[in-house]
Amino acid sequence: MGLTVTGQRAEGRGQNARRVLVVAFCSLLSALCSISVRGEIIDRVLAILPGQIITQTDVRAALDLGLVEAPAGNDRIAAGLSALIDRVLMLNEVRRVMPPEPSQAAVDARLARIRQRFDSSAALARVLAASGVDETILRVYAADDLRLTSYLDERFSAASQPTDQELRQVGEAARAGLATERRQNLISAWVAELRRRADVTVVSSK
Amino acid sequence: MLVLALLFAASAAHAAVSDYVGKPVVEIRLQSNGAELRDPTLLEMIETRTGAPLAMVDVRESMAHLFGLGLYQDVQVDALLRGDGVVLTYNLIPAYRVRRIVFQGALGISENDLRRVVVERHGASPSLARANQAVTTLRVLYRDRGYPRAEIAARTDVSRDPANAALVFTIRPGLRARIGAIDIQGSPRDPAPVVLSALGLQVGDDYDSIALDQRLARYADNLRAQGYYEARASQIPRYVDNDAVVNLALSIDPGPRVEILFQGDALSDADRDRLVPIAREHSVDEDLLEDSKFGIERFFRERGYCVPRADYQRGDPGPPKPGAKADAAGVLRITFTITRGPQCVVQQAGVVGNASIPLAELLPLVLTRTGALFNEAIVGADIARIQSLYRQRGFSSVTVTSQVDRGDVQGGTAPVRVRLDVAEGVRSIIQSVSFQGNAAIDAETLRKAIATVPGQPYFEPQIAADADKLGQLYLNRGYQEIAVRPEPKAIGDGSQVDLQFTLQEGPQVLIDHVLIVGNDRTRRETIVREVQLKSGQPLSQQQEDDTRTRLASLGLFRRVDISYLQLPGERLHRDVVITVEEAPVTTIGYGGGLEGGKRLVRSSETSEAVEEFQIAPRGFFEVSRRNLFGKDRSLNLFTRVSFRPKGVSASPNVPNQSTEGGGYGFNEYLARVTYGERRILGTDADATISAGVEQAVRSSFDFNRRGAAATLTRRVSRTLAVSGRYSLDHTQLLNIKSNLAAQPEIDRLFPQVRLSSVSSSLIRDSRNDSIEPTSGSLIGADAELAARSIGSQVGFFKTFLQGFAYRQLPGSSNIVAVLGARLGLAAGFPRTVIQEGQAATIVVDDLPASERFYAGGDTTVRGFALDRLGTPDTIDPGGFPKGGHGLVVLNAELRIPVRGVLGAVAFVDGGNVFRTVEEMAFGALRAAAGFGLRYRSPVGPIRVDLGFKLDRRILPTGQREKLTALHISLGQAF
Repeated sequence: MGLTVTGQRAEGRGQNARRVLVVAFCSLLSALCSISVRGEIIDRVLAILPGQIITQTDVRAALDLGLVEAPAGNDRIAAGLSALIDRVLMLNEVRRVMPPEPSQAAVDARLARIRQRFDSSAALARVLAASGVDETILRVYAADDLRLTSYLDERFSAASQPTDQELRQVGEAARAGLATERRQNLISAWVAELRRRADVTVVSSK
Repeated sequence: MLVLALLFAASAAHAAVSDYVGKPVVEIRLQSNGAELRDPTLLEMIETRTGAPLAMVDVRESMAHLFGLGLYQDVQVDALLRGDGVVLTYNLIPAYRVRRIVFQGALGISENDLRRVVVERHGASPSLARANQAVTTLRVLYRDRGYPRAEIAARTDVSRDPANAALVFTIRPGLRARIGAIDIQGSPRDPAPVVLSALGLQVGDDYDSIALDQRLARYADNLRAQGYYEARASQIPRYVDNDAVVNLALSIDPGPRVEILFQGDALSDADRDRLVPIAREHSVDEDLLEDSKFGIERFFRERGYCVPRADYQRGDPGPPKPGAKADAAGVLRITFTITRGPQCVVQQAGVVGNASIPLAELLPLVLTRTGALFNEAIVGADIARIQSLYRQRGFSSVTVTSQVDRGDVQGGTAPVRVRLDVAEGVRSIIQSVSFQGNAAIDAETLRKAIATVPGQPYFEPQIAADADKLGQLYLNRGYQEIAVRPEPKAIGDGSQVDLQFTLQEGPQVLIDHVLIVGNDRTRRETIVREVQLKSGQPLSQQQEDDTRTRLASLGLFRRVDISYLQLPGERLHRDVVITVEEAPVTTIGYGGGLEGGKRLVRSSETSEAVEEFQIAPRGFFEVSRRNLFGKDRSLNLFTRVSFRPKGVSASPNVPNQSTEGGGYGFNEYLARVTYGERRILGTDADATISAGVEQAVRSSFDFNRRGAAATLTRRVSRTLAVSGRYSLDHTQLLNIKSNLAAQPEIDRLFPQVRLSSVSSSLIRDSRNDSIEPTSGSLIGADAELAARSIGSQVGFFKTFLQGFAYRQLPGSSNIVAVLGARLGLAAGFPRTVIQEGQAATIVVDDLPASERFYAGGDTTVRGFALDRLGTPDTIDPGGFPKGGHGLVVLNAELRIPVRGVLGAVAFVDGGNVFRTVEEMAFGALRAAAGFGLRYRSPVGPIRVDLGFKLDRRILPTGQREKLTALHISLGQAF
């Protein structure tokens, strides 16, 4: 009787173990199923600017094409998004003053620099396809880059030059570094002001 | 196998985006909160197509369209491999709309104050993305109110409805800081305890920076009121002891007591305060004193004193004298010495140096006139006008200078000779007009768009206007980045100019999708019908304006916004987002008022017509329902009642009509239901169908009318509308005041008459305001035909023409002249009838009483009581009007603003009513003149007019007409 009882207990433990296994297996299945149903987010809205949205593919394209810079790592998308928001705000401001169209040659040269970032034209094509960017848009990006650079040079380069008195203090050799640093500070202050004025909503930075 | 399959699926789920691109899309899902969406409007925005290879450009565009609806805060696109294809899922994350702001916790500050600050800074419906900024705003407020350690968190409560989310602030204010020490710095006039008492401040009080700032401001104001115009009082708080205590440094600096003295020529107190604003500006700095000096000199120059002088002397505060009171010390005396000098009178004013424009054209521009006081500002304006005329004629380099010669002063005045010297320069004529950089629009089209043509004088403002027109032309074709630069090139000595417009066209932007948002009740097609911006067309400025105007004129929306959405890098396409905010469907209106005027009533003694001034209370109630069935349809119920005096107007002809007693009777009413539909059956016409019952009191009779009408109206242009109408009425005459024998045959035969008529009208209305116009005109022409063949018991043809013109008098201060003319012509169709009880037949060719013309009263000829005007044939022996078939009314009125909301009018009216059209004669017109007052109330001008007859005559009753008629009413006469 006692054995029987013991045997029953042993059988009971075995059943429990099997139940645990079944539950675990089902849970795994369920988890895997949920992954398969959900799929992968291939694009989403990351930020909203007045009259414009920035999507995940926009940020990836901007990073891959070298339109914005961001350090590699987990926060690369977040940093790229922030830089792209700045770029969009600056370009909106640049368009208000209606700068002259860059020459075709200048655009071609800029496109060539973009292409140099890739090992092959196939690699570039893959990035463009994954980003939803075609050659027309790529040319617009390149032209925008030139407009932006031209605007920043015109507006900030002269103002960034150190004075003679400053050069006497730090030496002529530091001229370039000082001008670059000051130019960057001026641009940063300008961008901060643009951000303050604009209604920017970051939906997600991942 | 299953596990392997699932593991494979899992690994596939983490493939790179490029692994999906190019694979055929096998299924597209649209979800929100896990629920499948099947709305066709949403589905048509998705650019990816089942069976087509997946292209991210399509995905991006689909996201932009969906996001543009404004209903979602995020659009996420999932991809999943299935076999060789891809399953795409568009997940729409609903946008939370903050409708409520909730504060939770022991707030410490009144909830109203918190809400006011958040709403003022971030709006009543703040964006959730701005919640952190709202928290910062609240933290600053709490710190200012003495809670430096307040803990504030924001969260969103969407438990009820995503479209009705609450922004919840949870607040723990923490301990309020107390004032630990107070250090008074500066040079206060009073001892510290007095200052603190005046500020209501003591150690140990709760600290409230905002309240303290207000008290300090009041304290400084008190000092300024005592002459310490530069008084300053401020605080510097310093938190100590873990922010539990605030040590205050109060800076109190009264500055010197300022005395402003004036000597020399007099200046009124009001002018002194205005021209020397030391007390207002709280400052005695040099800039302000200099401005005051120049202000005084300008003040006198404008009054003809050509060499005024105002000097000021600033006396340093003297050292306190021994034993002197504190008030006597440190007084800063500023003394203005004014010498206005002689008053200059223009003895001669002329223009020299003009060769191309004769003096006859120039002198009218010169307002510096002989005998007038000399005023430099007027001379300056003269110069500007002459230069402007020269520039219009092509003298772009003209200069005009003034030479002012002052003679000897005699008796306080000096004669002045003013000479304006014109140096004309070269006259430039446009030799050629060309365009450079235009690729999208040919030069001929551009040339037609501008006003400047070769041979015209070179005039810069005209050229600038042309550049604007060219820009507008491009904007209307979608060139949003168009830049137009006029580049004139002078040839030789500058007498010829080649004008080139250089254009930088930029890209042409086309419309991708037109998204309509916010229409909960209104059908999409109702809106689409009005939208002029179409998918695939250029993004046109003009079409955007037209769309906005058309949507607003539907009357269905409180607000219409049109915005554009683009993706980065996408310069050639935009989604147009039209956001509408629907107006309330049901509106209710009601109102009441009084109408006063002379009316005809039957004398209880003689049964003849006598004029009596009557006041009639009246009111209306209206309820409308718009947007019926989601379309631009409306239903309106309008009711109106008026109470008129009863008793004396009772007719002995009508039984049960009281002839006794006074008081008011409910004797005028109207109830009408109107159904309206704009653009009926897809046409440009608006339709209305109305039915109603009306009872009204006229001078000779009352009538009761029941009827219905259908009207089609088409607005041909902004100012011109035509309409056609069919109406069926049943009119019954009541309380006929004329004796039976004096009544026209038709009224005796048809005391009840059914009229079936068609009519048309044309209205051209270019008035700038329909209630109080100051410019424009109103012209109307109506024609009505009633015929037995369409069911009428009486046939007639009637036309009514009217025209009013409104003009502001030149050089006047908003005086408006109004001229008006009205002409009515009618003829009845002959009809043979057999009188009841008689064998003989008679021919009737009259109009029923309710359709005949009448005149006299507050809107026609104002020297006469209502309907009292008419030739003798249209007035019965008892003095009651019978009406006529011809009408002429002419009006002329001057509307003069008096002050604020008060205005006055002067008018001359003329006109008459004639029995037949053949009898109409201008020599028979009666005239009246008078004046009136207007009070501009929020509901329109309240009007009181008193008219005087210019030719009083003897009435059929043997009495002489009364001289005047008084009218009180609402709204202008015409």
